[in-house]
Amino acid sequence: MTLQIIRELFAEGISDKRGEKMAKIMHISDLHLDCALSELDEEKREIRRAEIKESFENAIDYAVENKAEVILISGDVFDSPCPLKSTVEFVKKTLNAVKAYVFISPGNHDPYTSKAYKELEKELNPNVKIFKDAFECVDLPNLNMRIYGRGFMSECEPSSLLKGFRVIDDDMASIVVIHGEVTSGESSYNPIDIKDIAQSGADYIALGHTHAFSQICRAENTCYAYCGTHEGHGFDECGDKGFIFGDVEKGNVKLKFVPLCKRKYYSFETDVSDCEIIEDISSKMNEIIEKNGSENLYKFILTGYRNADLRISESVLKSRADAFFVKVYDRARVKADFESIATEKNLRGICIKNILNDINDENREKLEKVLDFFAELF
Amino acid sequence: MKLLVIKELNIVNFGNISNKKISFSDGFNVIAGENESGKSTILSFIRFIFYGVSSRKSEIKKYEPLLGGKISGTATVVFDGCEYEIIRDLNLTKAKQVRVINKSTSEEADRDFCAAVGENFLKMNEESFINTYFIGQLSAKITGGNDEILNKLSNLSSSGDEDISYNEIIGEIDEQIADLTSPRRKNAVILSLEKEIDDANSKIYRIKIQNEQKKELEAELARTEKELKEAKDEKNALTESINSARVLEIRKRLADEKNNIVRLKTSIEADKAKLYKIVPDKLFENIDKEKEAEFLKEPETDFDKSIQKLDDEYKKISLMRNIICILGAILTVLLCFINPFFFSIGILIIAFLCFLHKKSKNIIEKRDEFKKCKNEHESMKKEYLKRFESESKEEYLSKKAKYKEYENEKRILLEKIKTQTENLEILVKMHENTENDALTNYKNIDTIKVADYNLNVNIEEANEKIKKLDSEILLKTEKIHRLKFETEKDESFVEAQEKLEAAKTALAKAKERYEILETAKNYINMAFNELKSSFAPSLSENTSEIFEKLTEKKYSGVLINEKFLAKIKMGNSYEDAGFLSSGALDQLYFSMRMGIINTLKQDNEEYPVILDDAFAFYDDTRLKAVLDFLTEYSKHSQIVLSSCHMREADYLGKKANIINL
Repeated sequence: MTLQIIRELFAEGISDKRGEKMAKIMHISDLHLDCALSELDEEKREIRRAEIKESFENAIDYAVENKAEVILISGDVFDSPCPLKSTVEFVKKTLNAVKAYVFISPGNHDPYTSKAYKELEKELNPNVKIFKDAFECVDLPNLNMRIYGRGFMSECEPSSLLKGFRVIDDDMASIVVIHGEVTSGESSYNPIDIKDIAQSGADYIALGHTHAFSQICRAENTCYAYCGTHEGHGFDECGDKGFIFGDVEKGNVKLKFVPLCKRKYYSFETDVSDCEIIEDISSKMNEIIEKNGSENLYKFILTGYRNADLRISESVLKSRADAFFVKVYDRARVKADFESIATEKNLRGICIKNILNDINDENREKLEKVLDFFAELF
Repeated sequence: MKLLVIKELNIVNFGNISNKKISFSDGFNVIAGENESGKSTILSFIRFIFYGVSSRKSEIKKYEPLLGGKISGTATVVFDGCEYEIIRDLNLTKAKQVRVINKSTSEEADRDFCAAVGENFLKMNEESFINTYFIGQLSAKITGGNDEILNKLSNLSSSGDEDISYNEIIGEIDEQIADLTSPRRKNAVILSLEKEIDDANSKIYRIKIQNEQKKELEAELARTEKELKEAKDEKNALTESINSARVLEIRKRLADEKNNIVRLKTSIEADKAKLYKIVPDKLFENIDKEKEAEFLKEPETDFDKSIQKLDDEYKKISLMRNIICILGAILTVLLCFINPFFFSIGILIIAFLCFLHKKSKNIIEKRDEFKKCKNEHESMKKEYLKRFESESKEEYLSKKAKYKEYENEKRILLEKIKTQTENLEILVKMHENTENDALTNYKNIDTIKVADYNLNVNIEEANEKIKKLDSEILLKTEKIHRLKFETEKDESFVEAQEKLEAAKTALAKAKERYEILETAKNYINMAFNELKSSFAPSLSENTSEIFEKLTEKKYSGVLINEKFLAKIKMGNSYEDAGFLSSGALDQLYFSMRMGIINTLKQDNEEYPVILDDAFAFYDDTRLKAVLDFLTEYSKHSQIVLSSCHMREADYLGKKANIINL
């Protein structure tokens, strides 16, 4: 089965260099503008939301400076189908300022049918193309390239949007922009089988959905990659974020990851067993912060065993840390010889004894917390 | 094994005792002395040595040295095989008030140790000590089953550390649970978080619904905007029509006015020309009315007729005269012939003739006068006619009539010209106004393009319609404003979502805490029950054993429940202890006290039992029994008993170390 492709021609280009050199492309995705950032406190949320926008602007600036001819956005531009009007305006303004061809393939967070695109499409420059339900192909003869794409039409696309797709087989380079999950199993978010990628015959498939850079992968002659999000949105998106940039021509893909985020999320487990006072924990944390940059966001999970009288205040640790944002999770156990307490013939002893007897793999986490509670109580 | 033995007390200054050394054996010690001899003070000194006075400030006063200075003293104890000296001196600075020296190594214990001497040596706090090993005078006298001491025992049994009682722990946990969940707490964490989540959820729901509704509102907005445009277009068309009609009307009016002016001017010119042509006879300009009246006046009498009449009359009279003359003459002659008298007749006739003559003469005169008048009149007429160049009166009159006619015509014309000139002025003024109006409204009315609208528009109807359209436009505009406001309400539920998620996280944490607390509470209750249920049988057993000994097997079975209520075996059943005599009850509580000690103590951990005149009210039999028991007990625990009687010392003899005060 071959998917029918609606074809369109972008005749006017920013440069005419058919076959002379490779086309410069940028692949960015999963902006999640107006994303909820509940891990942060109120003030930082606002700042971060603004920065996520700013970072997108920076990425586009990078593309302009580096003379990108095609910008591929693989979905989830907006975090919700009903973003703030101002956010839609921001995207419109940012994209309308670009001369390069822009291709957007809506994702599960912002399906094409959503209000976001309805608003965005108003007064959008003609060089910006938003893909929708059917596969569409835009010919860029100036670049000797075709861009294919298909967008999410609802928040769920349980069957593969790429299945059976094959590019037109000629000497023009082909790129596919699509949002989905590369999996061999099932998924509500356009499950893309590697086989479908391999059979597509495209030179590059610009994927969106996963928030981490996947490296540039290859299936048969098709390269594909998740560029990840351009700016971390939470502690589950740690490390460098950015976009993919490089050159593509028929049979030749030279892309690399460009880290260009404003701030990074870090998550560290910190053993506090050797800490006697809370200041020791603080300096441990600050050491890590100093090493990784105070502009970043940190999550510290305190582990190990602490003295019962070392009371850990997450807010005190937070206030003593020299970073843009710090979150502290106290997972440290209390240092206590429960085995010996359990031999005591008194309330405490019996309590501890009973708990130790009751502990199994299922309730371990909970009962250990109860043990710690007792260790602090008695 | 005797874990702790008090070897010696050196009371330097304590209450009424000063510089007194008391040595104890590791067995049974009896301090004997009169009332007020200081027995209780010595026992209190033991308490002081271990626990100080910090927690009993009122006792500082009670044991304030009578000789002045501050409380001080030392004690030598053997603990776990080592000898220690405990030195307390309240004269010194707080840090130095307590010292503990290991006599075999001469090492001084650290401050932490010194701060809790009793806890370190006796493994219990002061309260527990008082409730167990330190048996005061009152303890034996307590009757009934559920008052202070039993509560204390209950607390004692409930916690290993004795710092925190079961009730306190449960109280604290319940407090924390209440902070999380009690609806009576103003900011119960879980409840307020749940409310926050509810609020956030409903806000999100509301915004989502709003977003749904927005689509409809936007459609309505578009519809309304279209309707508004239609209404406006219709209004514009109408206004345009009205304007065009007005322009045309004004143009027509201007033209009409201009025409009228021209026509009027022409008419005035024509009239003026006509006026020139009217030249009336100047002779008639000034007519002497009197003369004219005279001229026109017909003579009063008809001269000719009167002359004729007079002529006729004259002729008649002449004839008559002639006839009479002849006839008279004849007659007179004739008669005179007859009679001369008749001559007179002739005279008469002559007279008559004379009269006639005169009359005719008058007539002639009259006639002449008439003739003269007639002539005068005619000459006057002739002259008048001549003056007016007329031949006859008729001509005169016709000429005069003609003059009058001319005059009249001229007057009318003048009048007309005057009126018309006035009218012209008004017209010109009007025209000017119209022109001004047109100028102010249309600048150049002539160049205005007249739209190709329905020019047959009825302005009134159109205005009426415009009025309706205006109100429609107003309504629609308002509606659009409202709809725009509604649709442009750019509310994001991101914030609500964040609040929701943060609250959910916090709730999960609070619930985890809640679960920990509940679980901890369960374990504590479980342990407490276990402790009580493990405590109760052994306590019963221990108490039974002692009580049996003390009562010399009169009572053999005591059952103590978890609430420390004792039942005594009577035959095959157990009875409430209330039936016991007060002496037996004293024995029972002493048994329970010792039972508790036996139950609580760990293996090989024997502490001194201090008894402050505990058996003062015992009869001799009972005393003997208890002393026998204690003698036996002193084999593994040091006993210090104070008494105001000598009977204990007497009975015990060499079995005890008797200290006489």
